[in-house]
Amino acid sequence: MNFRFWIALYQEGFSHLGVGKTLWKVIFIKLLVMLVLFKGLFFNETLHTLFDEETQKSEYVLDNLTKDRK
Amino acid sequence: MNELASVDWSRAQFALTAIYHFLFVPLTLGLSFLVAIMETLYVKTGDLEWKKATKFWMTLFAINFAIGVATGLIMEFEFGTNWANYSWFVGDIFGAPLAVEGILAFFMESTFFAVMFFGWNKVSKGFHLLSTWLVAIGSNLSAFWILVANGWMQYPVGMVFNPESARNEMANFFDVLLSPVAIAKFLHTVASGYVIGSLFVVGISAWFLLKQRHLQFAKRSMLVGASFGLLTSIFLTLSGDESAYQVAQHQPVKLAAMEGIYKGEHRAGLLAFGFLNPDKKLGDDLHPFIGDIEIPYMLSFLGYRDIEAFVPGLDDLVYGNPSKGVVSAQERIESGKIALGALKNYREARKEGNAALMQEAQTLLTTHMPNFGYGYLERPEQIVPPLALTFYTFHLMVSLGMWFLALFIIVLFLLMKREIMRYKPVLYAALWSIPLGYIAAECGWIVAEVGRQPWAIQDLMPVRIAATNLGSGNVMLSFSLFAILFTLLLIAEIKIMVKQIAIGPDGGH
Repeated sequence: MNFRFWIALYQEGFSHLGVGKTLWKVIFIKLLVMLVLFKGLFFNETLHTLFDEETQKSEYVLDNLTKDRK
Repeated sequence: MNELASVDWSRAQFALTAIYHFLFVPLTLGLSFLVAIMETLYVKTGDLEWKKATKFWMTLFAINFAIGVATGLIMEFEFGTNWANYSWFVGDIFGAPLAVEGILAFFMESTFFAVMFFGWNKVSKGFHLLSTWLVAIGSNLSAFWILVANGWMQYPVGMVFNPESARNEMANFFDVLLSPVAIAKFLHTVASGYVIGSLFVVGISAWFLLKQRHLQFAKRSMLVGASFGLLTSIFLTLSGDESAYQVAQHQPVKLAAMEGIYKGEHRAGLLAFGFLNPDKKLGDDLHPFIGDIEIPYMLSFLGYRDIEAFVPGLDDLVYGNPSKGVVSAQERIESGKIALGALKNYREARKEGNAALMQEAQTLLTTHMPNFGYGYLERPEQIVPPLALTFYTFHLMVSLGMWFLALFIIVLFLLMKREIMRYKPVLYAALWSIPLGYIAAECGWIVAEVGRQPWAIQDLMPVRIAATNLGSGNVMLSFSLFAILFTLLLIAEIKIMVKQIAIGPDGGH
C-alpha cells in the first residue's frame, strides 16, 4: 500500500459517494463558519495574539489573579 | 462593562457548546464498536446479511461522525479567548492531553476511517475489519485524553504551581494520566456512549419491526444492540459506582448536593427518590425533602465502602464539623487569602529583588496552595453548587440508567423467545428510549460540571476568576450564532439520518 493507493482510495471513494456528498458539503460549510467567521470575528484575541513574550503573558495573568476585588 | 455579565455569557456559551458537542460524541463512541462487532460477525461467518447490516450502521455512523466532527474545536477557541486566565493557569497540564488527542484523532481516525468507508473491495477483509476496529479504538482513545484533562479539573494532581509564570507545571505525567478521577470519568463516559449506541441500534431496529420491513436485518441488529447494551449497562453501573466513590473522596460538596444532604450522618442512606423542600436553607432545621424513599446504609457503603462511615452534609462542609474532622469553608477561605497574599508578596519581593522574601512568600504559598481558590470567595455558602439542578439531574440520570438496563433485558428475553413482534409496546418503548439516552448523558455532564461549581478547577480557581473580562455584547452575539449553527447542524443530522434510515439496508451509502 503506497501513497498512490491512498490517493486512489480517496479519489474513487469520493466519486462514488451518495449521502457522503451531502456530508462533505455540511463539513465544508461548518468548517468555513467555524474557522473564518467564529475564529476570525469572535475568537481572534488570545494571550498569544495580545503579547509576544511569555513573561508579558505571565504578568497579565498574575495581575488578574492578584488584583483587589470587592 | 459588568464583569459578572460577561462571565455569565461566557459560561452559558461554553455550556451550550459542550451540550451540543456531546450530542454527537456518544453515538460515535458506541456505534463504532457495534459496527466493528457486526463486521467481525460478517468476516467470521461470511454471511452477507451481516455485511449489509454493517454497511447500514456504518453509514449512520458516518453521518453522525461527519456532522459532529470538529464541533469540539469551538471549545478550544473559547478556552483561548473567553477563559484566558484559566488557559494560562492550567499550563501544559491541559495542553498536553489535548495535543495528543488532536494528533491521534487526525491520524488514526481519519486514516482508518477512509479505509473503513471507502475501502470495501479495495483491501482484504481482514485489513478492512482491522481498520473498523481501529476507528472504534481511536475514537475512544480521543475521548480518553479529553477526559484526562477534565478529570484534572475535578481533581488537580501531578503539578506544581510556579508563582513566577503563574502556571501549573507538570510534576508527574502519570499522576495526571492515571488519576483515579480521570480513569473513572473516562470509563463512565465511554460506557454511556456504548449504551447510547446500543439504544440507537435497538430503537431503529424496533422501528423497522414496527413497519414490518427488513425483519431479519432488524432482529439481528437488535440482538447485537441489546447484547452489547446489556453488557455495557452493567459496566455503566459499575463505573458510575466508582465515579460516585471518587466524588465522595475528592468532591464531598458535589456528593452532598447530588444526594441533597444537609446534615452529615453515619450509616447514611442512599436516596432512591425524593423531592427537595424549596424552603430549606443552609443551617436551618427544616427537613430537606417533602417526600423521599431511602435505602438504609447504602450511601455510606457506596461512598466510603463502609456502612458505618460518616458522610458529610452541606452544613458540615460549609460551617465545619470539628468532631468529624470536617474543616469549614471559612477556614479554607482564610487559608486561601493567605495564599493569595503570599502570591502578591512574592511579586513585590521579586520587583525589589529580595530573594529571602521571595523564598518566604513561596513557602507560605506552597503551604496554602490547596486552598488557593477559596481566597476569591467572600462567603462560605458560595461553595455550594446549584442544588436543585445537581440533585434532579443526578437522580434522573440514575433512573434512566436503570430503565435502559431493564429495557435491554426485556428485549433480549423476547428476542430469544422469538416473541418480540408480538410486543408492540416494547418496540415503541425501545424507539422512544433513543432520546432518553441522550437526556441521561447530558444529565451526567450537568451533574459533573454544575455539581462542581463554583470551581473551574476544583479548590484552585473559581469560574469568575478563570474568565477573561470581555464585552458581554460580543459574547452574547457569538452565543446566539453558536445556538443557530449547532441547531442547524442538529436538524441536518436528524434529517439526513431519517432519510438514510427510511432507505433501509438495501439502499446506497
